[in-house]
Amino acid sequence: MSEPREPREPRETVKLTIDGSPVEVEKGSTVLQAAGRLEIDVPRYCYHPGLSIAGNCRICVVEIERMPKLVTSCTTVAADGMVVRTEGPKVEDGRRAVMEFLLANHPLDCPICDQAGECRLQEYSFQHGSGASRFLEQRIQGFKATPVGPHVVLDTERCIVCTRCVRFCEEVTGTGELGVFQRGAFSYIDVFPGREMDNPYSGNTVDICPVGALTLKEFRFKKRVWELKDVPSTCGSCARGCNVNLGTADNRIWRLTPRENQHVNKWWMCDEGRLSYEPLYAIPRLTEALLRSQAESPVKWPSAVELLAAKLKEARPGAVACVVSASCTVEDLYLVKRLVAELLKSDRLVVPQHIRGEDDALLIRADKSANTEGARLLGLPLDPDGSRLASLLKEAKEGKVDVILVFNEEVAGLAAARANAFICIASPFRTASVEAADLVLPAAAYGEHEGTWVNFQRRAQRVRRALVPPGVSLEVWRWAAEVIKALGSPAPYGSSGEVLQEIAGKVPAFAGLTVKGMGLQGVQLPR
Amino acid sequence: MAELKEKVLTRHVGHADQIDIGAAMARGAYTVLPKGLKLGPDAVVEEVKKSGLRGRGGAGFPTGVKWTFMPQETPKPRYLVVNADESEPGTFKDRLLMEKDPHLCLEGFLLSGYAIKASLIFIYIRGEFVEAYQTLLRAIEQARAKGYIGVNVLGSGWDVDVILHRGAGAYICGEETALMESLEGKRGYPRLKPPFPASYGVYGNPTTINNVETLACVPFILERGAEWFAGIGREKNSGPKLYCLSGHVRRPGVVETELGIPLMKLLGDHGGGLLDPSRRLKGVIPGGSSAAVMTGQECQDLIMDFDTLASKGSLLGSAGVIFMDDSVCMVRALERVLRFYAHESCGQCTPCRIGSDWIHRIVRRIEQGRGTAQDLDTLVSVCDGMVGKTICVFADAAAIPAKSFVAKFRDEFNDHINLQRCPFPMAAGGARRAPA
Repeated sequence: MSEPREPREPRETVKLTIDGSPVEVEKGSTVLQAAGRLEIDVPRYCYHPGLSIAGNCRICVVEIERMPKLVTSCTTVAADGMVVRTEGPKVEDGRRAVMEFLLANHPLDCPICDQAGECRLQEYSFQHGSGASRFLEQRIQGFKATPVGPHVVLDTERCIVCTRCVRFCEEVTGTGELGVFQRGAFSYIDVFPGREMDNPYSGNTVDICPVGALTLKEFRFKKRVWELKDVPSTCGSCARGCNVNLGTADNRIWRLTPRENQHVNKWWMCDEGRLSYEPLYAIPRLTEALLRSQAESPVKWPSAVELLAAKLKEARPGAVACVVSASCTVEDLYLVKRLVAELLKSDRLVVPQHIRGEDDALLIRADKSANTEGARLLGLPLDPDGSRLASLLKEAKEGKVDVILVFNEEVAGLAAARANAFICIASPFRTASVEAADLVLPAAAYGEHEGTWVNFQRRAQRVRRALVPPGVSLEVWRWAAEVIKALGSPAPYGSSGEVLQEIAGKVPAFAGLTVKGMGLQGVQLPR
Repeated sequence: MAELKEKVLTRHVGHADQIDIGAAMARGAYTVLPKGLKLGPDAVVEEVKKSGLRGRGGAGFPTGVKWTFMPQETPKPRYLVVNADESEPGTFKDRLLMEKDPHLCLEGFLLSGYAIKASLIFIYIRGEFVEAYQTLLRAIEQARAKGYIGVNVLGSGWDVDVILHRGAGAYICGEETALMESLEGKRGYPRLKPPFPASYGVYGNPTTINNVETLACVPFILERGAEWFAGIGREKNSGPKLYCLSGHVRRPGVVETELGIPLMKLLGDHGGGLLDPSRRLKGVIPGGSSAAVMTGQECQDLIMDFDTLASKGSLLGSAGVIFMDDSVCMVRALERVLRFYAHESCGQCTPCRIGSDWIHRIVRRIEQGRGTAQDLDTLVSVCDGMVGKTICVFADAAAIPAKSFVAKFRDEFNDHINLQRCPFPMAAGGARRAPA
């Protein structure tokens, strides 16, 4: 991944004037970047801050005093004393001409285009376009709805050949699957013969495509984008914690898109993370507490908590075991630890790790848990090789354990322990290990819970609640808090923020951490 | 300021054996190279600067000045690129030089490479020039065998190699930075400038790029002196010049005369007049198809040099002079020119990608008798949306001629639109419509 150019200290700057406002920017910045500093939104198609400068779309033209022609602001380096105009009749003329060119061969199939609502062609037509077309010639036709990879569908008719996607595959992933073919007005973008755009980051080309040329197979025609509400959150697919927006509507997630965070994921995310919402709607959900003896029967959740508390009280001292997921939030893990280690005085606590593949050079981490570092900072025992879990299950089988608590973790081989121990599982989904449980508590799934994750860089970031969980599903920390209360200990938390407040006061690694402080970009914890 | 009384660049073009190094040397080839190597690179640059030699590729930029843009101190290798991608419609002068006198070309390349301290000389030759390629390839091998190319050339301490690279048939690859992209194995898209080739050229190294004819002048400048060169032709437009005559001219072909010859003299003395003397000269494209057309009237006292043509809104360009008599339909002529540009636009910048195709289709429609009353206004306005709005000057090269045809022959365009047909008789070999 290309690192942003580190500014040399001390920074040299230049001062210029844009639309009458003075602005000082680092030497080497472009006029477009300087305008951005003033929050002047110069239209752009080909420019993307994460890619090399192509300068080909020509929509970002501006007028600069003492320059005879309009210049593209994305390619022009800001200089001392420049006087720039991003508006005015000359600039408008230039932009109108570019818009007219871009729409000349465009199919104008907006009614059936999935980009509608977030299409730069639509937006700039609205601002700079004309209502009528002077193009009397026969339109050049391209090919439509052609898969170019497992996730991406190409429509060359809508393409404006800005080459963002081509540059992404060359510069960011280094895979180079895409190229420009033919010349002139017949230019089109496609995968090279015999290739597929199957790199693990292919979905980003859809995000950076300013028009409807590249769409995501999994999202297209599922939802009109103006019906989606973007909720800023963090991806939970690996220890990177890419910043994302959850595109939500009708109380479900329809897509994940990356949200810029220069410290974590720049502008990108991987395809696996992007599609990580899919299992949420593929696996049956648990919506109520279930008591499973001979048969399975629903049970009201206060009774379920009471029943569990009774079992915990009956257990021999220290004979409680707990398996908790490293993807649970810091708040979840803190209260589970309080329950098991402090209240029940058990050291049979296991946080399994899920290591798959290797870290790549861009974003993907081999550690597939979202909060491994958070668990480490809370002092929870991680289990990288599965030996702790194996010995726990062995002890359970031998009758040394009376109650096994499982939070959001899929544990194989639980059934063998059921004869000797009472097994309680909190999980969002009806999975195989539910079959081994005596008591099942429905848990909130991704998108339904709020809390803090610490990524592999020790950056604390918020995962946000965007959806209402089904039935009586609760976040893990709430289940833990209820059980703590039922055992007669205080747990006066109204929100995950209040739990965090307590953690920040008690655990030195989290000292001073607040929800507000994390904001949308997270906070770097001391390493 | 003098006329050119002799042939210079083309003096050995008539000898079939000139392509062989032995015969060429017997006629004086490679006699200037040792002299240049003794002078030292800076003195060669100085001499070329003094001569006033201006680039023969089209832009007319002073060659010696261009050479001084190369960085004085650099850890990087320096390159000379010879632009032999002669593709401008109406132009065939470099091809003649390469096919008929390759050793003159090579001597010029070597002297120029030495002047800019190049370690490599790339010759980017148009892919269609198969004969020129083979001739040049053989010449390079012969020159290498004689020690003119290689390590420590003629004991001067200068090491150089020459790489002959064939293009794959794109006009845009004659644009200097697209050429470099193509040379590097990439798609021939012109680069953003700055950085300019002298600081960031082939493989990011300092590069000078010159046209074949330009560099072929260098041996003569060193042999006969800058004053001799500057004394031919007109002030600031000096030296011998190759003109490519085509169209309705009695003797088409390459003509060598001085820069700044009056067009009518070029036509009369060198071209033998119009093909059909009973016809009237209707228009001339003076510098390859990218140049604005001049009417027969404008041609009467036209001086064929860089500055005069620029002042008249046209270009000397590559000196591809296309004569058109009054049998020519100017709409059809423009259609043919624009068809070329629509086909050759690289497609990188929006205005050129779409515009060059659009203006061609408007003109084609007018020629085919389907023009509308708004077409000419649209055509001119689309051209205005192209000129000066792109990375390279290709869009200008398509739009400026189009505007000039419409401005200077507007009645003819209007006739097509009003009649809903082309008023000219069908030409031999092929057009669409018999005369009404």
